[in-house]
Amino acid sequence: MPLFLSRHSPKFIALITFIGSLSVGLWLTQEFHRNIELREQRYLDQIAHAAAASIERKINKSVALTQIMVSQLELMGPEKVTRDFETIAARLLQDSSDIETTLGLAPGGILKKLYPLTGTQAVSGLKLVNNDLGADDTVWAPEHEQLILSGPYELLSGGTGVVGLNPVFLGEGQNRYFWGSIMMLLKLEDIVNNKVLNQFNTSGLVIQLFHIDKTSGRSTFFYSSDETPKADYIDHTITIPNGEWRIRVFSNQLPHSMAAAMIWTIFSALVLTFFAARLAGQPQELRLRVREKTAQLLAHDRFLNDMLKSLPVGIVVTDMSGRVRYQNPLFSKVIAHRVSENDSILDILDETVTDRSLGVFLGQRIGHKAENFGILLEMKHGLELQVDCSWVRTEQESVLVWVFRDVTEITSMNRTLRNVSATRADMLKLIPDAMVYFNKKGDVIEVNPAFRELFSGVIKDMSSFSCTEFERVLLSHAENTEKFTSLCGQSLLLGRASEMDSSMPFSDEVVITLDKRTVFERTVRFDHKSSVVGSIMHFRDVTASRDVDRMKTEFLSTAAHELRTPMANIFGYTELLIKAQFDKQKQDELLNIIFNQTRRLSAILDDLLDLARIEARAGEAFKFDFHDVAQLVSDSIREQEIELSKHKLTVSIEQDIGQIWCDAEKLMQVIENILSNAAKYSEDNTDIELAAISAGDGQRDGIEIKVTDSGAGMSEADRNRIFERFYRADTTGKIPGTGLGMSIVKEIVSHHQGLIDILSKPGEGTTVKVWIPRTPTAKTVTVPDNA
Amino acid sequence: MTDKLKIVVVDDNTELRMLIRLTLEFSEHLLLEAENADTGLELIQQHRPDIVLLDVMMPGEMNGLELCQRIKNTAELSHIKVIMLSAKGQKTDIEKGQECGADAYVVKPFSPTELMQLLAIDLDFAGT
Repeated sequence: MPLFLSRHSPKFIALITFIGSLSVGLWLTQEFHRNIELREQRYLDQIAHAAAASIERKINKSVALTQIMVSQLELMGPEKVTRDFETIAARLLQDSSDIETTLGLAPGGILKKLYPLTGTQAVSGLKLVNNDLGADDTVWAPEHEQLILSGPYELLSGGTGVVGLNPVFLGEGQNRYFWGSIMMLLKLEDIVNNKVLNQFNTSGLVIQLFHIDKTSGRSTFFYSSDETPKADYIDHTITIPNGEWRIRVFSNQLPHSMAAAMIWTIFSALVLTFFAARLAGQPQELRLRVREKTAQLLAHDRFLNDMLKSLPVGIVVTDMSGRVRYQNPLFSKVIAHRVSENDSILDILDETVTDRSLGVFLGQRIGHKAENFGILLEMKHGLELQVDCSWVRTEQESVLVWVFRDVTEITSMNRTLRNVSATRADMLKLIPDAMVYFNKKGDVIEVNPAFRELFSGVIKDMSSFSCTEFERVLLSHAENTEKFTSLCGQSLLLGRASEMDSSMPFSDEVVITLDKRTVFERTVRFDHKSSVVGSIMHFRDVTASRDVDRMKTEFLSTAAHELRTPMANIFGYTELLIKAQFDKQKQDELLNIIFNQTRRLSAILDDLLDLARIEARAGEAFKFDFHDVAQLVSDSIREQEIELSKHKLTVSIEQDIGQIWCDAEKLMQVIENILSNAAKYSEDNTDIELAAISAGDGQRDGIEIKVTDSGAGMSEADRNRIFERFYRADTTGKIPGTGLGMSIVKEIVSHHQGLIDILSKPGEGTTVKVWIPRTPTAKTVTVPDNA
Repeated sequence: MTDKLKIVVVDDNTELRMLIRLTLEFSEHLLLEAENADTGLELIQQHRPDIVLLDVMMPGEMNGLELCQRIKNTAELSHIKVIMLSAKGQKTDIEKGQECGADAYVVKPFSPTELMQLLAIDLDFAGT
C-alpha cells in the first residue's frame, strides 16, 4: 500500500482518481478522433474525387455524344433531319446505347431553362416566343445560341438539361427554320442515382451536389442527402462544358462515435474511481477495526476486573517468591487478615492457618517453582479454605495465582453425605430383606446382598437388568398376580405407594415363591418435589415365619387332639358312672380308667408347658453352670428307677469324666426321657446300656452319653419323625407317652449347642447318642439379668 | 321296642371303644369293634351295619375320613349312617367330614348318652 494513500481519505483518493482518469480518457479520445478525422478526410476526399470524376466523365461523355450527333445532324441538313428525324434519332440513340438516357441534348449542351411539356406537345419557335411560357427566353436562345429547352419529357428539378425529342424550329412560315434537335439529356436523377452516389448513401456519408453561379455566387443544390452544413467536408469541382458543379461529401458519424467514446471514458473513469476508493478505504477500515478491537479488549479487561472483584472467592497474585502483587477485595475477608502489597503470602498463611506446618509445605512448593497444586486449609477463624495455586507465565514474568475458596459448608456437607451414604450402604448390606433400587427410567441402580442371594437363581446378570425383565420374572413366580402392579413404564410415574409406610401389611402384597422360599414383595416409590426419582422393590423372606405359623396351627390342632382323647374318656366314663348302676368291680375298673386318663392328660400338659417354656424363652431361662457328669447321670437313673426296674440296666461312666457346662435339671430331663423311651419300647428283662464318655467333635471338647436298648427299634420313617411333636412310634396305645419327650430332648440339646444322633433298626433296638460341649460357647454363656 | 341295630365302632383308642360298648350294653343293639380303618372296612362289608361310629385319626393306611368316603361311595354300603367321632374339632375338620359324606360329626369329648340320643337309641339305665 503506497504511503500517501494511507494518509488521505478514500473520498479524496476517489476524486483524484476520477479527475485524472477522465482527463487522460478525454485526451486519448481526442487524439484518437483526430487520427480518425484525418483518415476520414482522406477517405472522403477520395470518395468525392471519385464521385466528381465519375459524374464529370458521364457528362463529358454525354456532351461528346451530343456534339457528335449534332454535327451528324448538321451534316444531313435540316430538310433531311426534319424529314427523317425519327429514324435518325433512333439510330443515334442506338449507337449511344451506353448513355444512360434516351434524351437528346441541345447544341449548347446545357440548358438555360426548362419548360415542362408533356406528351407529344411540340413547340415552335414563335409559339414558343409567344407562349407566355418563357417568351423572353425564346428570343434570347437564338441570339445567344443557348438552348432553352422544352420537350415532351418532364424534367427533373435541378437537372442538367432536357431537350425535347421533337425538333425545335425557329421563325414563322417561310422563315421558319429548324434550329436544332436535341437528342440527349443528362438526367440529374440518373447522375445522383448512379452507383457511386448510392455507395455514399449506404456507407452513411452525406453527399451534396450543387451548382455555383459564377456571377452571383449563389449555390443551387441539385442533390443533397442532408443539407445540414458541416464544418468538415470535401469539395470537388465537376467541370461541365457550360459551367461548374461541385460535389461535397461529409460524414455524420463522427459526433456519435465521439459521444460514445466520451461516455465510455466517463464510465471507465467511474470504474477506476470505485476501485481506487475501495483500495483507499482499506486502511481506513483497518484503523476502525483496530479501534473497535481495542475497545473490546478494554471492555473485556474491565469485565475481568469486575469479575475478579465480585467473585465469591479470594484471589491473590504473587510473584514467584510469594510477594503479593494483586488481591481482590474478598481475599482479605476470606482469610480474615489485612493484606498489603508486597506482603509475603507465606507469612500471612503462617498467621492465619491452624497448622503451621502447612506454611512450610507451601514454602517448599513455591521453592520448587512448581507445578499447580491445591490444598485444603483449616483457618484459625474456623473456615475451611480450598486453595488452588497456579503458576502463570507471561512474556514478561512468571506469577502465582492463588484462589481461596470457602469450602466449609461443602466439606461439611460432603462429610455428612459420605456418612449418610456409608450408613445407607451398611444398612443395605445388613438388612435381611432383599432390596432393588430402580431409577425413574426403570434401570437397576443398586441391589443389596440379600437381593443377590434371593434372586441368584432367576436373574443371570445382577449388574444390569431392566425393570420389565425383572417384573416378568416376578410374575412367573407370583402366587397372587392380581395384586401385582407394574412398576415399570407408566405406573412408575403414577406410583403405587407414594411414601414409605411401615405399617403397610405385607400380606397385602404380592406373594412370590422362589426355590421353595416364600417372599412378599412391596414397592416404594421415591418422590422429589412431585416428580418420581426412583423406586425400591422390597422383598421379605417370609418362609420361616410362614413355617412357624403353619407349625403353630398344626401344633395347636395336634395338642388339642391329644388333650381331647383322654378327656373324651374321662367325660364318657364319668357320665356312665353317674347315670348307670355298676357293681363294685366294674366301678373300680372304670374309675381306674378315669384315673389313668387324667394322669395322661396331666403328663401331656406338663410336657407341653416344658416345651413351651424352653421354646418361648429360647434357652434364656437355662441356668448354666459346671456340673459333675457322673452325678447327673446317676441322679437321672434314680429318677427313672420305677420305669427301669423291669430291665437290666448297665451303666458305664468314664473314670474322672469331670464336669460339664450345662443346666443340670434340663440335662437330667434329657437323660431321663431317653432312658424312659428305652424302657418303654423294649420288652421286660431286656438289656439297656448307658455309657458316658469324653468325646471331642473335632474342634471342641465334650462328653457323649449313649443309651442303647435291644427293643422294638424303628423304621427310617419313624426315625425321621421322632422329633415331631406328639409323634409316637407306638400306635397301639399300649405304651404310655405324650409324644413330646424327644421334642423336649432335642430343644434342650440344641440350647446346649450339642448334637443328638439316633441309630435304629426295626427289631434290633435303638441307640441314642447325645453329645454336649464341655465348656461354655458363645450361646451358652448365661446372659446377665439386666440384658 | 325297635328292631336290633347293628353298630360298628372304629377307633384306635381302647378306652373309647370300651366306653361305647359299656354304653350300648344299656340297649339291646349289637356292637362290633375295630381298632383301625382296614379291619373296620372288612367288618362293615361283612356285617352291613346300620350305623358306623368312626374315629378320624387312626394309625394305618386309611384314616376315618377315607373310610367314610369308601362307605359312601360303595352302592351297597352308602345307606349306612356314618357318625364321625373326632378329637379334631376345628371348623375345617368338620367341613372335611361333611365332604366325605358323614351323616354327623361329633367332637370329642362327647356325652355318650347324647350320642345315643343322636342315634335315636334308647338307653335303659334302670336295669330292667
